[in-house]
Amino acid sequence: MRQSGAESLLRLTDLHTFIGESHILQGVSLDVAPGRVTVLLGRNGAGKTTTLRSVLGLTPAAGGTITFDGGDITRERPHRIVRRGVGYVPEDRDVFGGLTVDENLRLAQRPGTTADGMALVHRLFPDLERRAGQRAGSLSGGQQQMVAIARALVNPNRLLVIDEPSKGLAPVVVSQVTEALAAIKGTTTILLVEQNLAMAQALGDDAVIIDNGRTVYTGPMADVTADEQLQARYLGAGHSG
Amino acid sequence: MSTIILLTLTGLALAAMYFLLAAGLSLIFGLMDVLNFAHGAFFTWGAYAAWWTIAQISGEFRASTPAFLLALVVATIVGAVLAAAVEVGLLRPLYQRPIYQVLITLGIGLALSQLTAVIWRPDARTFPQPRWLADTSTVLGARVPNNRFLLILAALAVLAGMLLFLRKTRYGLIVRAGAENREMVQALGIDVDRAFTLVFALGGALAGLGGAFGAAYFGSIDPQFGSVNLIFAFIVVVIGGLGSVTGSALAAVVIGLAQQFGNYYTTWAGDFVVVLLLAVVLLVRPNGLLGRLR
Repeated sequence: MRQSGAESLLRLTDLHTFIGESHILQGVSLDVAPGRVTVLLGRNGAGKTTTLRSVLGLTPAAGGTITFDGGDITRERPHRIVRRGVGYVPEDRDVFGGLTVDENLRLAQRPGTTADGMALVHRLFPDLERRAGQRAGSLSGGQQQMVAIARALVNPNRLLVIDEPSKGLAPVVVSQVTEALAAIKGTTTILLVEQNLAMAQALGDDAVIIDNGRTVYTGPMADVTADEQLQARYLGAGHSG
Repeated sequence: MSTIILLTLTGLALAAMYFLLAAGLSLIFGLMDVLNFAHGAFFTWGAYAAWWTIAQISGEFRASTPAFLLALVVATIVGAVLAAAVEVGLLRPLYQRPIYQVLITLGIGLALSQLTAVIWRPDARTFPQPRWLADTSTVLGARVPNNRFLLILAALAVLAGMLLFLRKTRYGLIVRAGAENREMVQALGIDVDRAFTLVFALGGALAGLGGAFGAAYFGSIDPQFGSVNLIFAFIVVVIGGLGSVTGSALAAVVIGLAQQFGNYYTTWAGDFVVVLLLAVVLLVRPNGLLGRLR
């Protein structure tokens, strides 16, 4: 199931995670190669979001190992994992609604980082610069998603962990978000959960499919796109083209 | 007219003391969701630390100005150190257990009050203050004790300082964001535990300072000094809106004035009016005057 020989920036080995009494991840293994976009696919409830949260330490793994850049981060606390160079864009965006756009970005910017990240954000999302003083809670869903992605981009992160950036967005906004992520593709490594197969296809280099908390497929994204049988078996009707 | 002036300024001074106690409570609840029942004990310890400092320098019955000023500093430090020790040593392991937090802060409050009685005797002690502070000034015919003015000025300075801290500093940004979504703050690489300790220590410092000023306001202290005032501070926090410092300031003014006028004109209605106000606000604006929807 695993790509052999490929060096990994992030490696999950036989990961087990519980939420309360529920055994959500029952052996997830995957490799994220540096400089590539790895798409994590699976039905609703397969364990994709839990996998990302375990990587960040927000829902700590009960078993297995997570290594980032060769170091074991399985038991590390979330803020320490992030400081290693991991940016996180959560499923529900989780912008701080009472803070302005600028405050959201300044909060995310780690002390000592250069202004390059902020310049990149303003280049990718010029609307955010215009709305710097606006409360994030008053923005549209698409603009909030831009703030959420921008928070992960203001630091020179080596890995971006992005959870369903297209969720709940209008098609035109999905296109804008896809364009923004395509623009940074190649400059950083991305682990992406995405239900929208068209977006996953546009961005993904590698694919990992999990089903019932276990890894069931690892391979090129193009092969998943071409294999309708695989899609029908593991992705079901939840994926839209 | 002079009675109205006196009642208003005394009510505002009482409001200032409630605010010093309530601001820390509100900040702690806003960021950490902790109802800190030990806060009254920090207030008591601040008062006793101030009294002890003055007693060491000027004696138990008279305070010099330098001794009083040093007493304010010592009270603030004692409040901060006590609060930080409680947060790091006892509360931190219990953040996933809210009921345990309530029980432990209640227990710490009782234990610290009892400890005060053991160390400094359970009976009330006169709080010495500089002569100029106990003297009165005449305002439109009303003779108002000078410590009322000092208390009001101190509360205004604290309010301004806290608003600057919350709006202009990175830690203030962390506190405001943490009050909305603690997990996401962690996911941005920020050590929330450190922010918790800082906020708890800041709240304790304000309680300690409030204790010293409260001692000057009432002129005496006893081991139950903090727990009596804590009840009104909680009412201020709820009326002002949990997590809102400006709301606490506004509510403290309402409560302080209502209590003073109520007690003066009826001799019994001061506390009743406060509870009535609490009931009305809870029915009409359950989130308080300036509270967020939680």
